[in-house]
Amino acid sequence: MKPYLAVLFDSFLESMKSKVLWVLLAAWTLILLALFPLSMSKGETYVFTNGNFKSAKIILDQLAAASNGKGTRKHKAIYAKLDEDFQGILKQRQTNQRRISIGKMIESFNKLLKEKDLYDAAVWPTAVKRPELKELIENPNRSDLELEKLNRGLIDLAFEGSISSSSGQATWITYAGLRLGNGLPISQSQLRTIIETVIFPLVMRLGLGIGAMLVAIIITSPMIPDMFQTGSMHLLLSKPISRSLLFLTKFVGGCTFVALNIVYLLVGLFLYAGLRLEIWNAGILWCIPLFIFTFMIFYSVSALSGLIWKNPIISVVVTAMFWATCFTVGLIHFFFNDFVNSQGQTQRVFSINDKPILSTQQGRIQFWNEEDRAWKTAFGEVDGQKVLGPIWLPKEKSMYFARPPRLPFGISIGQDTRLELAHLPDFADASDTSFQSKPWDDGRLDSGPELPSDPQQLFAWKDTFGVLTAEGIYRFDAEASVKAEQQKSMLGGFGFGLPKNLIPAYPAMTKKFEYKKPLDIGVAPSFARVVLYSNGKVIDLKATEDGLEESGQLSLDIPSETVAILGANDKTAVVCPIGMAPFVIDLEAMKIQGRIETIGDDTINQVRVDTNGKFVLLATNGKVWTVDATGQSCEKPSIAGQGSAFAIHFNESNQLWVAHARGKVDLVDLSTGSSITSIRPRAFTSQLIFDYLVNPFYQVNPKPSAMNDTIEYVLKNSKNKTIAIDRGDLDLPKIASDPWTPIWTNLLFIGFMLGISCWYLYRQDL
Amino acid sequence: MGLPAYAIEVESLSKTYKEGLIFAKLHKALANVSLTVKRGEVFGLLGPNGAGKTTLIKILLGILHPNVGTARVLEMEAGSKSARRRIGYLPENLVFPRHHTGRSALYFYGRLSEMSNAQIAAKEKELFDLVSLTGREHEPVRRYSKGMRQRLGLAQAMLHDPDLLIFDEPTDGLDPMGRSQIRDVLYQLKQRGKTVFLNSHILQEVELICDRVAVMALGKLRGIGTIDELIQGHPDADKATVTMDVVGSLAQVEAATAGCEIRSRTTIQDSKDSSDAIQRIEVDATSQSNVDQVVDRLRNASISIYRMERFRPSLEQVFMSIVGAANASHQP
Repeated sequence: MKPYLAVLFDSFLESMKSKVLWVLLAAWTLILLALFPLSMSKGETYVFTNGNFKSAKIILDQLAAASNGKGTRKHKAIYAKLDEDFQGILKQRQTNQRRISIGKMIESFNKLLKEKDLYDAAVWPTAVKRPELKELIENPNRSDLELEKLNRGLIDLAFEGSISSSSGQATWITYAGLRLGNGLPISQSQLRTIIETVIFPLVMRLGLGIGAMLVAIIITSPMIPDMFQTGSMHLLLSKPISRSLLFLTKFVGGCTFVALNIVYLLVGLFLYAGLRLEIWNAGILWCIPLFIFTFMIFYSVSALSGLIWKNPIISVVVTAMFWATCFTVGLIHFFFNDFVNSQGQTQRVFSINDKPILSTQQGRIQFWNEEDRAWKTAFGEVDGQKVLGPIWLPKEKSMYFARPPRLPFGISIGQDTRLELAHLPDFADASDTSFQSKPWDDGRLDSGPELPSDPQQLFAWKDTFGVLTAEGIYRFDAEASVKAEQQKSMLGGFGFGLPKNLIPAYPAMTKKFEYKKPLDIGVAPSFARVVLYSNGKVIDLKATEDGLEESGQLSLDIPSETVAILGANDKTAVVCPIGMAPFVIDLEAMKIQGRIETIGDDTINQVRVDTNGKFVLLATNGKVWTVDATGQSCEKPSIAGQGSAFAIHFNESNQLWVAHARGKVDLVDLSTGSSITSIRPRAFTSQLIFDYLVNPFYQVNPKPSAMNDTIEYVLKNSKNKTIAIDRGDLDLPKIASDPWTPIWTNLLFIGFMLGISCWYLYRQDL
Repeated sequence: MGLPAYAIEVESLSKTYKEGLIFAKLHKALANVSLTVKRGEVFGLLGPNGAGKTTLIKILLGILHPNVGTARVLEMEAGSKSARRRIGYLPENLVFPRHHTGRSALYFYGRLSEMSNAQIAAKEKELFDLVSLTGREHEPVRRYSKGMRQRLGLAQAMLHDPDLLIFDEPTDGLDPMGRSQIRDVLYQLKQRGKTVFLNSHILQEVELICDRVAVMALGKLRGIGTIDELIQGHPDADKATVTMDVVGSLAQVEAATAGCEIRSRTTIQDSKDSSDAIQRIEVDATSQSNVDQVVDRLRNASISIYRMERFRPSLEQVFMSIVGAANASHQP
């Protein structure tokens, strides 16, 4: 053992005496020192940001009308206080419909926030009725921030419905105590979540995973060729040591060099994140062995090349080629997988008269075509948009849905969302299969009225449907919607937008919400009650003749930003916060009845309730769980698609539709676990190529980039396994792969490469 | 049980290299080489570049694998760990890792030879003294001259007190002072009874130190034996003469040596005064009695012998002759 320890110690000595090591350590120190002043601070701001405008077009139309002396007093008062430049632009818009950049509008509105005499009691008579504004109006010695808050409240009042009101909560990024730019409209804890789940993995993936790894490969590339250069190698080999062990020891020595750097940098980052951002994430420290392991994958290739060609440049080139090959194979696999397994992004499954319908993450609605044995996209493709609904109204033989543009983390683009109506008369007769071969294109799709602002979900409600928004729950009134559209087309010619409540196509079922996002809704199958989840609380809303009325609240004692989804029957609700065991709520007593620990911290993204009140929960890892109506027992039924399910839905007979991989859909009887109907799309040539060529090649190909998944996994603690700051984020596709698999597969690869190197060295005449 | 008689036994050793990847050519580096080296012997391996000397050494150390034949070192399989434990090796063109000082390099190679720090420390001073590096041991090896590096190489080879020392071109590229220092070390090893296997193409050095010599050319062993034995095998070995410069007239010299085997008589310096004239005679030295008789007669005739020199083929001539013959036989 002594000789090998000597080689190891010698590698360490070589590292310590290397200028490169000290240069790198100095570079890491500079980076950490530069990073150290970067922090965050909590504050209050009412400035406008891009996401605040729900309908910029309506606001601009109203202001342009005000420039011409039309519109409300509030609009005219605001127009009068706008800067001259913007006033000119608005006047031009009135005459030639000139387009105006939203940036210009934000800039002018933010100037308006500093206007000292915007408030006029005659113009804003209702402002004093609002407690948050009353206090500010009555205070003559308002601070700048209070003035900003008052003016923001007045502007929000003037454009109610078109502007999201501001909570004032904001977090600033600071550098050496100085605030950078505008505050972000999120809490510090939300920003920390984003940093932990998005920024850290990105920094690790790009900065360390690619940048530092490349540096490490270049720096360590001469180590093996240097050892095996003629003058020193023969002397080493004349000593009583094994060639293979000598090589392996030198390999470990190379890793030691890199380990020194990684430990220094990551411990520095860990301390920075903890001390400056208050993120004490042990995952950063877990990344140390993972990065060393990732380096070992590349170094095993570099070392073998060094043995064969004894040239560091060739080693680097071969390693880069290996990297490129792995990347290319991974990319081909990714695109093929996406193309072939696009059904994997199924978001919802529905059924109409026992015909399944899928909606996908890309905003497509698909029908099963038995003739082709394939899923056919209907109603056009609106790529990249999620689907709200669809809801089937049997009386109208119509299907309603909406496709609001939406980005991850609850960021909506701020455009209006129009309801879409699909008339499907053929569905009335289940035996008529003619619809299955018809081209379902835009021609069969009608455009319905705009949905209320910030729609979150559509849900079936008696003989129509309801809309959950950030501001309240509304009911769709089909007759009123037709009238509203007619009236709008009559008045629209006057050149200004109409308030949405002129003829309400969506009568409110609740008062304006005091409940904050994240929101979710559970509707009892009997429609006797609706249960809301809002900001860490459960709110029970009982159905009355006029709508819904709050009958009780319960705090779950979880962080208020926690995203959760729920389902409810007449007596019980199951609330599933992200990454936590679900709560069972007794709605009559309004208390927590217990937790469903069997499910553990799996993230649930769909909850369905059958007419008997039985719950079915679907987790992001594809597992399906059943919970009885009282929430007492929980089971994982043995059904088709168990462990790989993407979507679930009860039909009228309380049988469960389960959509799973590659468009496979089963209608299962939960009492027996058997499949009543099984839909299996036929395999296309591309699928066969994927199954028999691309995928096998990908499986045997080393996958160093898969280590990123493991690194990402350790960086997110159990509460943040799924990135979500809004309920809609749960609809995003999830990677359900085991984060530890890359360790085993890559370990096999490293072992294989080192084995070949040792065999080569043993056989080779040197 | 006594010590093994042979330190090295090589039998019918052949080694062929493949050169090139696609259109591989075969190059025969060793062809049927057999030799033995006795214990306590200083053995010289001579040969021009490309003769196969380094290949043979690498096989003895296990760095190369022979295609055919066997090689044993100290009665163990050549290249085995146990054999390598008892060998000290100084390679050709030795390069030390740049991060070492002389001392740390000695410790590193000592540890590779399974020595403890205490064992190395006990021998460190003696060795640095022996190779004249005392006072320079803490300097980085990258600042060492070639001679210093070679001497450090000798020190590491001797560190673990091996039974067999294999030196590959130990004086190559050194100045006369450096060569002399290395030679001194070799003499000391010889006096200590160590077996030394010396690969060199500096013939004078080999002639001065080695007990036995082997000459290789074109991968084959062309001659082996003591230096005298090799000379005896030289074609000019029977042309031995003793050249004498004597003071006297040509007539006096002819008279004195009449009846002896004289190959030539030449006047080098002529003078009327016979005491100033110098004659050169070449005496047949095939038989020593003829030489003795000529000397006796000249002295009896009161002729002074001014200079006397015996001629025989040098090791260089023997080497050139062997290598030349090998090359000639290899010509198509």
